[in-house]
Amino acid sequence: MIDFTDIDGLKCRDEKSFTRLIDHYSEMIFNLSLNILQDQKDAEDITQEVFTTIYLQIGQFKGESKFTTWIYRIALNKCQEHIRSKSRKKRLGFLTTLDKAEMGTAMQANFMHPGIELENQERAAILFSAIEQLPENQRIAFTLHKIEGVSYEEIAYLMEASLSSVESLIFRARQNLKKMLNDYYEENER
Amino acid sequence: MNMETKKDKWIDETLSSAAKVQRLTISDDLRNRLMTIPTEVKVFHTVIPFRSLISVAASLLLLIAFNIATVRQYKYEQTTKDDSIYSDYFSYLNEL
Repeated sequence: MIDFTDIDGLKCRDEKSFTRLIDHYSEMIFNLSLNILQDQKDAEDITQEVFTTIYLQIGQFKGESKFTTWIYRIALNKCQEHIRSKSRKKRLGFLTTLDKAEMGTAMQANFMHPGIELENQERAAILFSAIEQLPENQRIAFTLHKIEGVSYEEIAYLMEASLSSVESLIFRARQNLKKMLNDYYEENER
Repeated sequence: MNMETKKDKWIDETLSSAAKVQRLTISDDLRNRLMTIPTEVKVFHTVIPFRSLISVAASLLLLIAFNIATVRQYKYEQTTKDDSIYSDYFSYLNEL
């Protein structure tokens, strides 16, 4: 993606610059959030939060990295915060619910990604459900690489990790997904 | 095709099912929400008056100075106390 150049305009709180920023990045942020969070409403809320943060913190951008990377990092942090708060709520619900039947962690393929071809939707829903079960870092690294098409080097930079740990995260994510899909196949498809 | 091969094929196909995701455009509602950010978000510039800054710095310096003085006073008192104990002890021995 071509880097946004009107940073000075943003720093001066110029509304036209902000509109250009929305035109340039809104789709990218929305799609990233949707792929990670697997919920259209949550993705929209996160997109709004990201743009609010950019508007408020543009003064902190020193140009040490590409502007696109800076924005990507903000979006990723927001998604991580959202996943954490959601899992905290889930844990709380887990503690308060007494009905064991509601506690099942089995895969439920219920996220139909609107950006996937109809013939692949059902399978993709199973995959997304399996991705949701992965530990947070594996989930993010796998989604960034396999769905967003981000390179290992960029993921390492975005996640503030070494290249080898990103490779390992994606490898382990793939292994875990294979195992989950194997179990799913044994239960449902056979 | 045997069962294992069929299963492996199914797993591989499922793993690559999300590889060709189309980029979605944002809804008009979201676009409107984003466009209103500059009018809804107020940026506050907090300016601390120079006089307040000086007062805080002076208070901190005073606090540090007071602490140093207290510690020194305490050390001095301890030394004097020890000296008087020793002198009392030796004068008692001399009397004996």
